Amino acid sequence: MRKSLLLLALLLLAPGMLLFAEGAQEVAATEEYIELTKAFYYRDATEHLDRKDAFMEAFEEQFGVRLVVNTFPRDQFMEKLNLAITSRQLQGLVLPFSQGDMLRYREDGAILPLDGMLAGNRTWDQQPAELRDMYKFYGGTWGIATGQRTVSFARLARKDWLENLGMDYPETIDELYEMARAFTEDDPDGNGQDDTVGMVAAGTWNLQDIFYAFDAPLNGFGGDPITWDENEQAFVDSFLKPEAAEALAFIAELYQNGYLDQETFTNNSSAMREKLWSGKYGSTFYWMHWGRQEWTPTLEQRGLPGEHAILPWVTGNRTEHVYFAWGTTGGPWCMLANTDNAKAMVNTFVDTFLGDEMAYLWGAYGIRGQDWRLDSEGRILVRVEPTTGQANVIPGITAGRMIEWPPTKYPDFPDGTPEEINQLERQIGAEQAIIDRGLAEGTLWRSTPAKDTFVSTKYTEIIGDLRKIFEETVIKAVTGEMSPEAALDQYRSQVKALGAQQALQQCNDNYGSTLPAWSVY
Amino acid sequence: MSERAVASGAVKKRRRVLTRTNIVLYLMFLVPVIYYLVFHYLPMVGVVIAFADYRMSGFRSWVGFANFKFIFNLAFFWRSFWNTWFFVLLRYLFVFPAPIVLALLMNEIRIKWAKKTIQTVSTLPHFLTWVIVGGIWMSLLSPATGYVNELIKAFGGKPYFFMADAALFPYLFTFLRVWKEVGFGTIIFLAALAGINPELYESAVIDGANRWQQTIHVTLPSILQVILVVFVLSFTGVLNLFEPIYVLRNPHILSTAEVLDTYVYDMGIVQAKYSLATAIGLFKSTISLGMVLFANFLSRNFTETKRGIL
Repeated sequence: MRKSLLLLALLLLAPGMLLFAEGAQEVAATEEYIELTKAFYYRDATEHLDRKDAFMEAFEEQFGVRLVVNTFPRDQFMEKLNLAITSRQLQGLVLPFSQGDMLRYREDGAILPLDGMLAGNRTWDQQPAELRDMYKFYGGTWGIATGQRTVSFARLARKDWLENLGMDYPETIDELYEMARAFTEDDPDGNGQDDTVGMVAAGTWNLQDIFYAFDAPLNGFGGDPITWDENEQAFVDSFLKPEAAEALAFIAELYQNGYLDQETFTNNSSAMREKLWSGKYGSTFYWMHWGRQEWTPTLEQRGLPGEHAILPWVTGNRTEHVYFAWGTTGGPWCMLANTDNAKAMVNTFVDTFLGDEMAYLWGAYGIRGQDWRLDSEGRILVRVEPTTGQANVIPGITAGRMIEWPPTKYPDFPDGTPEEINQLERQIGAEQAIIDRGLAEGTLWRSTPAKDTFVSTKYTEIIGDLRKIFEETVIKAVTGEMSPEAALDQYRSQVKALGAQQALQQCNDNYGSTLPAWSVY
Repeated sequence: MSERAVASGAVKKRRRVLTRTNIVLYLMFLVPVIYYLVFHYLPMVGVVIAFADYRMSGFRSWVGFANFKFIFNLAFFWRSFWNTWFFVLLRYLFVFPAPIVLALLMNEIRIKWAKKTIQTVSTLPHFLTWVIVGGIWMSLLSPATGYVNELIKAFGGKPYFFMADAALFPYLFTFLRVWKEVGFGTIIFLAALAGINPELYESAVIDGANRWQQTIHVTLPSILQVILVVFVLSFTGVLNLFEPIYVLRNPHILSTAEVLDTYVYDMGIVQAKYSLATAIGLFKSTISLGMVLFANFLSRNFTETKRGIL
């Protein structure tokens, strides 16, 4: 019996002892201590654990600032972050994916305005106004941007297939359709089998160029049609336009003829990438640099012939501002409201990462000498992962390029031979030139956080249901379950019932723009 | 000493609750009690946020039934509500009777190895989680690479995207539930069948009953009590559909696949609208409780003692 009692006592005491042990590991808060929570810290949560720890230790040794970086898996990152914030598990600065999440945190009282805390901080005051005001909404600064570089999505397609078929790069929406058809039906890989598909996508995100070409633009990552319209200079719901029906009919034709992957609306981005790497899918609309960084190299690694091309943004009903480029900022760093030493921590963060150029580069690329090095020409050469052959395992606390720094000051490349680096430099230069040309010619327009943020409490309230309605509308029209016109009629009544009109009005009122007469439910 | 006196003495003699022997048993019992208290009963206090404006930053104010009024005005709420009930209906039409039918059929098999093989094969899917089951069937049914579509193509047909057919999904899901649980569900009925007095069958044969009549008039009445218990107990989790639906749903089929559990998840975990999600959860739990009590009430009519089985 004594043995049983002892066993039982141990069973009951064990959880308490474990809790005590865990508590003992907590870090005492000091002024030179920063707690950060983000995804993509040396890739995903469970990857490169040794390098994660090594970075924090080396950073403290180098800059005298103790970093604690929490990282959740990128899959469902926001859900996990929300729960951790609500349950008070986290303190310090968090990096949500978008400024929309930041505004939701503001409405919920989960984050603090930074203006008061940063008053008198010389480093902050010396930052360009563009950076300081990037996340200024409702009269307060709610996040810190840590860099900016201009990026864009573009349609990527198999260059070798186009060459095999003797086709030019498509420039209009009709030519894009013809490319998708030929990629599917004309045996572009020449293997004599009917085993290729013209386009692949993971939902509407990767079909944005089509919506834009028809003049029914979607917002940011193609999540819904409530968006800033550069041509209207206003926030609109582009699904209230007749052009939206044309766009849906076009995609329906692609889908129903098999030129667009049948799993388009069930693919996630990993599945989409995997299909492109399989060598059997011809094009998608995605990050412009993805073709260079991953598509072509992975095909090569797998021994598959193939090379990507960056196509022009196609025109249709819309010939001006057919897509946009924007300055990626790495998201807004937001200060959690329950942080004990919030003022000290945010000032340490700003002084460290925005005040010390080398700390900024460490925050972006990792440990100097191990994760990256500077070459004689001032280029950052990022360590190539032996397992993947790619150079993208970095902490990403900062975004890699400050606004006031000229883009050529610290260009980054995967470490390699001088020839490889020079070739990459040319490719990156060519990609940048495509964006610059698009901006100069008016094909592209430059988006800003103010145009990409829906400052509306109503929008935040309805966004979940709004996106479901949008997604179902597109699917019903594309799969032929309903005609595009009927699907859009249903969309209009459902979204109206949610109160989307108020959301649109709030967005325009906040920005100072006027809602066009047609954008009424 | 009269029997009455003996009984009286037994009543008066107080039994010690804590003895050297049973104290260990009580202490061991304490572990699950603590578990249930901590993980099942204490969290129930949290349902009060259904009546509050509770944000990520914590409690703001009491709002009475405002959250309930809000969700009752949401079209998606009612869609997921009715979808849930449709799955319940299909469950009792197909999933619940399937193990009974299989048990009856297996009871007729006289070749031992065949019976055991069928039992093992049909029971195995129960031990797979829905994540695995979902993965297997989504791969099998994939329009691009699935074996089912390969077979269809081999016979000259056109590939079909089964998992994108909203009208088909409830029946497909019901099929998967039967496939996963039918074998395991038979265990209890096979045990009940094994307990039937063989003399009843002998009497039935003497009376001229064929196999079908024996099943109807001997087998089924003999296992009726077991069927009833399983039936009433099945109501306890009848609205809990989160895991399989979460795994299987996709944007094509939301109109028929969205259920209360997944709607709570989207609203509570994804959108962090905790008060609204809790209101939906509380609404669902209240219905579940009502169903269990109602089933228990109904069971009185089928028991010999006329008492509910819970």
